[in-house]
Amino acid sequence: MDMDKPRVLLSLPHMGTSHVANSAAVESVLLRDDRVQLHVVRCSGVPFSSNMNQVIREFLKGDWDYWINLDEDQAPINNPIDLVFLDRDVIGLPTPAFKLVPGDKGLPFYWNVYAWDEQNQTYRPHQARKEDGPLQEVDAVGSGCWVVSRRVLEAIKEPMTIQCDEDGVVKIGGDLSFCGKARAAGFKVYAHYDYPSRHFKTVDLYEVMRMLLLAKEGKL
Amino acid sequence: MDKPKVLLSLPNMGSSHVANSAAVESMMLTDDRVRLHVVRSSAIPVENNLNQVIKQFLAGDWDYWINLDDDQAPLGNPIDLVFLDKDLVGLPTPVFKHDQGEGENPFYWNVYSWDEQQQIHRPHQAKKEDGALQEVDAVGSGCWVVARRVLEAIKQPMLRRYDDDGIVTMGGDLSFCSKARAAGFKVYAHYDYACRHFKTVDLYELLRLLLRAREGKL
Repeated sequence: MDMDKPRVLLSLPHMGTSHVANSAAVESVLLRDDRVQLHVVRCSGVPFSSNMNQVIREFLKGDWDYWINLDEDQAPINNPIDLVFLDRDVIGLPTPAFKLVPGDKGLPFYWNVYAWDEQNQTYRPHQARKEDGPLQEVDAVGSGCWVVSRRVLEAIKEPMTIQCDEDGVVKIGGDLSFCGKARAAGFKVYAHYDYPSRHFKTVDLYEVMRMLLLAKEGKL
Repeated sequence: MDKPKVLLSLPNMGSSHVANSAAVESMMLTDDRVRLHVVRSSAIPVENNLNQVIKQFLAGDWDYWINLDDDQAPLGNPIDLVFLDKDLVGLPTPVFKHDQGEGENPFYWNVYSWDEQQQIHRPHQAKKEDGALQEVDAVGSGCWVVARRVLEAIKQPMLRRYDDDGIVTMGGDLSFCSKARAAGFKVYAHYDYACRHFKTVDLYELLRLLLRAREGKL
């Protein structure tokens, strides 16, 4: 075993199953990559924030250099291990999120990459510009598939804990909260648009077909 | 006692989409125009499952069979179609076919025409001028309404057809429609009664598809 290779903990959170494309990516790409020493943990604690915090606690007990998380409904198109060698604090692999808003005429998709809206104290989808290149510094990324350096995990406490309002309703999710804490501690968060990740979700084909027709008519 | 007697089958693999359950509860179970009996069934394969349902139907005195798959949610009430008294009416639902070419629209309705030359069912090309209720060659069974007279007339109703290598050449529902038509019955699709269809898809591919459609490349 080459002790100079980066040591990577790959967590695969799930609720009992994973998409076949997710398993295929892990088996055919990540597990075969001999540039790193990879250790895999499958975990299904609930709620999700606790599950991730347990993974991070395990990570910190060991001597891993990087943490890669890959949700069960994600399948990276390129190898996330490549990003370990960029040695950044946090890099998210952008994946599409789907939000149907009645009456909204735009495409109901956005990347899980965010900019902080100071005025409204909330995260909004980051507006990526091609001229900024594939690796862009941003305010937050989703944790569906991301690469995090050990130095970040050592610096922040209750890393993935969600933030709720006075009624107990979630205001900021665990991953975005993580990014907020990391940035407050002086770390930088990036999204790498050359490393998108597939995202498998159950959708209503009837609504999708309607959207396609609207898009073809130039109404979307 | 004059109300039509309807058997509603809800085939499932242990769960159903919440929109499916909501449609059943809020629309069908509260409809007092019919006497409704619900059966949930999960035998495999699905053709065996539905043939068991049909056997149960024939052992009883129901007038109509409505089938509703676990990933379907009708937008209109399928029970309305009972009162049209047609042999078989399908509620069209979109199907997504992954292996289409780059410029092809991968969506079509589960309503079919028979291609005599190729001996295969192809997506029916519905024309608006033909109205909402159109006679067709076959419909999918995701959600359909079938009269008792059809079920009494055909044997092994939902059996798939296979080629010499054991590969499916015709699904159970399309085979059902073929047998029904061969026995003199008529098959319809009612486009005013579309059905939602919930499937797990790759949002990344969907986004690419929508962008291509927006650019006029689809």
